[in-house]
Amino acid sequence: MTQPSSPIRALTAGMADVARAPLLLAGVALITLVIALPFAAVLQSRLQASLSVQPHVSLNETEIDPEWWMEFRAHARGLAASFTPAVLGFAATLDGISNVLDGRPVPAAIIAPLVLSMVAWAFIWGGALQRFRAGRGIGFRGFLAAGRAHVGRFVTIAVVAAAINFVLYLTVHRLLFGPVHALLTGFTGTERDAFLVRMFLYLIFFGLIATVSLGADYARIATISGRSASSMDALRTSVAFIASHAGAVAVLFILTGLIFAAATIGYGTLEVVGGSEVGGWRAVAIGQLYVLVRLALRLTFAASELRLFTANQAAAAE
Amino acid sequence: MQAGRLPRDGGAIEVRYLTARELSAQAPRLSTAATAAVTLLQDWFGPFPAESLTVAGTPWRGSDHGTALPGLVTAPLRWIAPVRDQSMERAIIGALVRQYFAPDVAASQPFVDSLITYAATRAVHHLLEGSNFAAPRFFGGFVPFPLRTVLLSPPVGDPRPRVAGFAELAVRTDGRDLRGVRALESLERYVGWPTMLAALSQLRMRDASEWTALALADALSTLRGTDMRFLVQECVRADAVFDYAIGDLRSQAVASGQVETTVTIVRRGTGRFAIRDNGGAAAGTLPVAVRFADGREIRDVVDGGAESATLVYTAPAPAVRAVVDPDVILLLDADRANNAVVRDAKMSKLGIRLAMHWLAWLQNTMLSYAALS
Repeated sequence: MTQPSSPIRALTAGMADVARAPLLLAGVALITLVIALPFAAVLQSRLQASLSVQPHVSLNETEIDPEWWMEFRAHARGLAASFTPAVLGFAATLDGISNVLDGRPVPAAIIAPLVLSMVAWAFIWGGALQRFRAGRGIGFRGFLAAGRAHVGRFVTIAVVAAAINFVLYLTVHRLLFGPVHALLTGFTGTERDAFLVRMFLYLIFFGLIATVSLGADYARIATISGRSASSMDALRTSVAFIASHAGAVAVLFILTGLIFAAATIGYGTLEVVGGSEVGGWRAVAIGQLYVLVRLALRLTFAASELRLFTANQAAAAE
Repeated sequence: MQAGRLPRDGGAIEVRYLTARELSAQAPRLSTAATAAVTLLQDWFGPFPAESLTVAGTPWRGSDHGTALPGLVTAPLRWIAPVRDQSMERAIIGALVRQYFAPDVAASQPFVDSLITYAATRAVHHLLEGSNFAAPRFFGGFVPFPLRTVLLSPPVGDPRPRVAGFAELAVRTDGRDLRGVRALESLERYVGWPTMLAALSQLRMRDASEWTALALADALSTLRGTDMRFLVQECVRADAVFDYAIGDLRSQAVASGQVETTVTIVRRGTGRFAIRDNGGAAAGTLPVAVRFADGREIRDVVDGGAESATLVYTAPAPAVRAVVDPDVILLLDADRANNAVVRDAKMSKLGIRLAMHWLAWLQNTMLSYAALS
């Protein structure tokens, strides 16, 4: 008789799945890089144009002339307007997470790469989940075939999840971080308490959007597992699975979240302690390494979810 | 509460430092900043204008600005305040400068607002040299992350540029005085800091009702021996738009292996960065740098009041670069991109590195938002 998988066992197996698929990780990293590179090239041409008319300033390799930056930002439009100090090193990570939690509007100029990324992930999930389900390499053609076969449904699932999250931002987020936040911080006497209130509200809102994301994740897994005939059917299967295995699903999510938090704190600590030793090109390399870690973790989480889903569905079937 | 004394014109200023109990660990930073600022400002502008001073670190409630009433300055203390985040120090310095010029902010004039913000910016650069970093805040503004790569106040004497204004120092929270600050910073870059400081000091000795742009111009004119009134008035004129550009850069071969280069500088804005004396005679104010293919560089000066100016050079090599205002004196220039024609542009490593940072930021952002779908 098949035993239901525990979250820890699923996570361990998911890690092993990703470790056995280094080409998959490399391919996913390459795809995300290829999506982002053209936009970076556009920005780079604008930076070069601006830097070419600046007086030569003798700076250390790791330093940036703040006056030039202010001047550049004053005239920046489109992609260039997103070139703020928050793009440097670990600040970029904080900015990405903070923007999601604070619900800051996405700059219009980066909507295109975000949409491209969403479509690319819809394609990647088809190949990656098929690879994890098979438990062995499926080859480049197999990956492409699986990606093509599921991209339509996965785009639908992604759009539904994004739409629900969008509505959550427009309603719950505005309520929580508007009047509720103002009311609760009004009772606090110190900034520390106000920050704790904000953290508490982050937890509530993050819980909601995480639930939606989990729904999308298990809908993709249900599709790959052949347990649904349509995207809507997959979403229903996903909701039913999450409802009946809420504890295991939540624990797996929290465990993966803790690994993500540890990696992020480690990155931040490295930058704070390392100082100028990790500036310049080293900071660029470390930043790319961190992106790779995030991608590996995203794939690991998906592989673990697949393990959890498959084992528990099999146990239930018996 | 802590108390102390600071020397003042043969006597002493009684100083009290107030902080909330949970923020008392920051009291030493508060007193260090205030002591250094009062000492510097007395050196610049004379005895402190009050016999006692209360410096209060206030709990944060959304504003990063310091406030000032006669004999009282406040600055918000943040719960998370790493040493490299000097926003509290900037706010204290800004508030102390206001003690000298206009403790009653509501009564101040736009020019005085700009003057205060400018003087405060200058004081910040002097006092926080080498330790004043950009520190963006995240998670609702609660969590700062100082960036060691963006030093806002390089050491005094270091030719590296300094930013012209800080949000914490703006007297007008809408930031409108920042245009005036850039005007005064431009004048400083033209006349030099010692002259500007002497002019500010003279202005400060006059009655507050005489703290005007004209009075500053008079002081600068006396100090430099040149009529500066036209230049100062143009710079502080709120509706003056400054925009200088290289209109044309042309090189063509002439006899005996020489190349004739013609550089045309045009004024596209209404603002004139120019010197005019009583008789209307002009003097050169705008530097122009022309670099040739053989590495030679020639510097000239043109009249910023003219609608256009043409420079002609005969040299062994063609020009590859012409820049008007190459040292960025005129911070009010609306579009620096047209200040140069560059034909020898090289790929800057810095540009590539910055684009790579942005690339990682975009990848992180894509990953964060991809998790929502």
